[in-house]
Amino acid sequence: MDQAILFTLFLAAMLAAWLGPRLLAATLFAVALALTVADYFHHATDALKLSF
Amino acid sequence: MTARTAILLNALALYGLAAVLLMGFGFQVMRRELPCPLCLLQRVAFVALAVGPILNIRFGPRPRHYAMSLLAAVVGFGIALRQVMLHIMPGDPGYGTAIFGLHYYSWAAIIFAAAIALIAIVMLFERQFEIMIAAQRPPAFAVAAVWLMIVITAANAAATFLECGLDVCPDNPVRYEMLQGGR
Repeated sequence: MDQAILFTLFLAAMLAAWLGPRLLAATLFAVALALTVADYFHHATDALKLSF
Repeated sequence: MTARTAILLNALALYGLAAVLLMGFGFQVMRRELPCPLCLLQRVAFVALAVGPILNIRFGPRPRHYAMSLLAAVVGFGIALRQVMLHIMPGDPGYGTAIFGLHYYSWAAIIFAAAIALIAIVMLFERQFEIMIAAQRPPAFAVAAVWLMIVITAANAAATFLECGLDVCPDNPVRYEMLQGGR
């Protein structure tokens, strides 16, 4: 569900970029990208068995 | 590089992104390999990468549009690198089928890194920013690329909803939650 929402938000950003005002496209893009990062941190919970 | 050349390059980038997303879709449908949450997030980042080129094609090339794509590529690279690290230990079979020896997430990491470098190179050519050509109609080649990306993004949204339903996607999905009987 979470990724389906992200796809839909970026779809809205694309449609705004192509058919609507530039500011709306940029705003939708920023919101969607921030939510993508948040969703990444939600899923990236497994410990990496690595040492650097 | 003129603005018109830059627009053609942006259209080519959209076709490249469409090919990457269609390849993931192909494995999902033909080999019945359902994408995991991190795999889906990489596809989301590929979609995010396409917003900048669409703006460039419609409004003319501008540094802000390229910056949006750079941000999307950095996020995508981080997500792909995380999945590479999850499967980097010797003996780990990886997730999904390898394509030419590398898994989708490894290709994704390479493509996002290449995108960062290519966008930086294209931004070196400042003549594209001098003349605003927003009033001109984009070539049919570019218009088709934009609509192709829009359709592929809509298809990804629908497929992801079928796969995950109303819940958070499982780490190792084995069936489409919204389709009765699975798969």
